[in-house]
Amino acid sequence: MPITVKDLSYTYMKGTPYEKKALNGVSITVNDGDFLGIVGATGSGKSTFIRHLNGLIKLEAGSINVDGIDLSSKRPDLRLLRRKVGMVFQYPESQLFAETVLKDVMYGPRNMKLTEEECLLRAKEAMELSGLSYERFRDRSPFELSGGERRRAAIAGVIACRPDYLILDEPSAGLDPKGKDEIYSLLLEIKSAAPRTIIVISHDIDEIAEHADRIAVFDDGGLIADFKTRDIGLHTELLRSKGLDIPVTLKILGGLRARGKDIPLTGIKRDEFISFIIDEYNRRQAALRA
Amino acid sequence: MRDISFGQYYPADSAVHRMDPRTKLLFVFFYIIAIFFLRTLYGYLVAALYLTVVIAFSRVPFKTVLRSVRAVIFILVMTMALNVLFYSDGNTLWSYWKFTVTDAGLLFSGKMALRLILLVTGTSMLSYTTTPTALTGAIEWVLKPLSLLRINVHDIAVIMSIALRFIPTIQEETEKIISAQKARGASFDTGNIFKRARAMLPVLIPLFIGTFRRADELALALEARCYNLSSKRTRMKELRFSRVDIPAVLFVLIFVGVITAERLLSAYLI
Repeated sequence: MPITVKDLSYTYMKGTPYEKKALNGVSITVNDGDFLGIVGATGSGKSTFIRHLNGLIKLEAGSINVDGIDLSSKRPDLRLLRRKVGMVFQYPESQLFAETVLKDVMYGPRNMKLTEEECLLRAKEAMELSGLSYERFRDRSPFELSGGERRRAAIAGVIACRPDYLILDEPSAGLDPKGKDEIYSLLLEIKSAAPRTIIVISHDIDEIAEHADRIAVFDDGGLIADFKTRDIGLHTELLRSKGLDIPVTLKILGGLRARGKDIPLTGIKRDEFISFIIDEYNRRQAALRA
Repeated sequence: MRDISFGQYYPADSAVHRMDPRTKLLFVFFYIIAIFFLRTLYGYLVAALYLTVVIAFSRVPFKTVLRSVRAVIFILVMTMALNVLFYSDGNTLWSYWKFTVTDAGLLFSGKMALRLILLVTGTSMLSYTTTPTALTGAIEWVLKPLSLLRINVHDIAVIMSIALRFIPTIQEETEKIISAQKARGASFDTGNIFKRARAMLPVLIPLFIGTFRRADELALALEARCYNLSSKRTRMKELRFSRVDIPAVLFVLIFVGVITAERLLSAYLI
């Protein structure tokens, strides 16, 4: 079942001098199996938007329906909602608290009142999926791990609840390039392990363009664009005008195009881009030989 | 969590906001003493009137000011209930087992409640109209005589301003961790009091770790910029008494005069 959001608006600190409109009439439908990337400048409403999706912010205006749970109803079942929607916040490692990684990862399943074996099973599965060997990491303290490992332990704590929808706010912020790659390959693995819907917020358009199938652009509390990643070439001007970056592959293709070559702006993902360049090169070599 | 308004600054452009923080600090000092001096209901009326005038001048909405009472509502109800039920002087209106309700008891507990409300709203006016920086400046000025005893007053002021500065940060951090644990299915409002206290551990542990880490980083940052305890510091904005302070001081003097008169004449007023 999809997530349907209609005319969502929200104002922070209403009725005080600090009042600030954070969301202004956002409507979007996220389909099952989507890998949606959300981009936008700081303060554009991205985080406020995703916080609505698992009921951390009370609905003020508009309607949200997550997999049949109507958040605009009087008393939505928030426990059920949070079971379906897993949320990984910015710097999630700051939520680690238990003495061992295993206990921390088991915290979510235990809150769901599952049997001890089931909790252990899920924790084990989530740790392995997150690239933390169960045998090696189960008894280690989360506070003695490296930054990337702690981030993955925190993500394991969320996926151990087996959510149908996984939402991540800047999952790669503050990690080195290797750590970033590991986080995204972990996400793709989670997605293929069970056909799940994933929503990722990121400032890094290269990351989003490489992994997400669909991109939503937020600006000043509004959703100003929503397109398939392969169509990003059509939205270059819009992204630039809002002070956002475009993928480096698109920059190169655009540059080639500016030199007068008839080049399609479609090979955005790394592999597509490389094969496109190789094909062009081969064609040119063939032409020279002829 | 966002409801904590006690100790929050309310930005506005008003005579009270422009007043020197030292004047305001002395105001609150006299005001608190005055509140404890009050005897008759007339006195409370004068104090309430005085406070109303100050609030009106400050342009802080009355609703916002009254919100600060919410923080002490529990204490307020408890003291009122205890006073009403156990005060034994006066004419008994109603009694049951060890409890007696008397007219004098009702009057007394009413006065107690008024006193508490006047205290909380009056002192919160100071924080509503004074930025934390200005307030620590004023406190540093007041504590200055202590430096004769070789106590480093500036240090105390720095510690205070750092503490004040980090209240919203820690509040935000707490909210974030609570959200994160809630998203993992934690519930903080079910079960008995022990269960609830235990449920708070996954919030408190990361919060403490984060706070210590932040304190370490701050100490490093201070040292990296050569913060030195012994050096004499100046401030970017020197505190200056201005024209608003003169009528304000007169106003307070009148208030203190009226309250003193009330105290002396209380025997004839009842």
